[in-house]
Amino acid sequence: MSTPGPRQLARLGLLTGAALALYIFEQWVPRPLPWMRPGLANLAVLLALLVQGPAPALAVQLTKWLVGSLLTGSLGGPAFVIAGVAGSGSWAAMSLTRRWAGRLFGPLGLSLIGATAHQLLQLATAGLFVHQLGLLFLLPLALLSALFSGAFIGLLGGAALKKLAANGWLPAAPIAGSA
Amino acid sequence: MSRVEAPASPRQTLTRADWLLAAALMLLCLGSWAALGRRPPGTLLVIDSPGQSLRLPLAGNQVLFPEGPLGASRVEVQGGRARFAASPCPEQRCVLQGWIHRQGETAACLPNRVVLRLEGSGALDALSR
Repeated sequence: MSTPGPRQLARLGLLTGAALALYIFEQWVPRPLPWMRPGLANLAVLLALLVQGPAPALAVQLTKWLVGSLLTGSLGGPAFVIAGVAGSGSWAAMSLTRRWAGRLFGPLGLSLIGATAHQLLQLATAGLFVHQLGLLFLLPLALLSALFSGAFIGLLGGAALKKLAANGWLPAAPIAGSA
Repeated sequence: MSRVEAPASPRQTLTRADWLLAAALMLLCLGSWAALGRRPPGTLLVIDSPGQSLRLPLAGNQVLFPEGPLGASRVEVQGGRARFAASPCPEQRCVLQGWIHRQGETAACLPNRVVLRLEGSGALDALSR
């Protein structure tokens, strides 16, 4: 354990910047349904978790949520609250999984768990605003969305990690499981 | 938060557990879809808007305009189904949701605070009353 060195801080800054850029970029990508986004910005959260640890990942997540909402103009609305709860829950699920079953799952598994937590919490929080049991009908769609976005981000994260390791961007500590 | 956790060797490869998890998620998705698809069709449409709550039979062809803070939403009833046909909200989530026809199903427009709900004579109906 150490205080963050300049390299770690620089890395964290880059990841946060990437998260915001991806968040804004995603607003312009057409999507079949509004809540079915690939969640590109979560790639930065996933990488922060894998490379730096839970606390830096939370920093990236919260910055993405606050500054991203500020930039897209959704600050303060129901969508803002829903995104905050879902995003933080997704971070918590991934962090706990990594802590307790870090050997079991790779980036894909972590990402799938994060995406599922995100979708379920999104539904549950939306339920607080709408007070309807009917939201239950969106469950299959939410799980399908979690499967696709989770797999997409997870595979992308795994590939990015390999690339970053090959370029010497990762910490000097030996990395288990690298091919 | 002045401390940064040591990078405890991130796993880069895909594990068997990863694939099992993906398969489980797929099964869960199909299972919930199959379970919900068996619900009987709704017979009563409830339209909740800030001003009023309207109940009408889900039959015939009708067009209604419930008022919300953003203006009037256009609700269509046709062939035992209901939908938001148009809405003054910015994101159009409610319109994109399309038709609903099963008991317990809802379509909601959060920005305009208009909610469509289908009821019948089942358990969900008793719960939501």
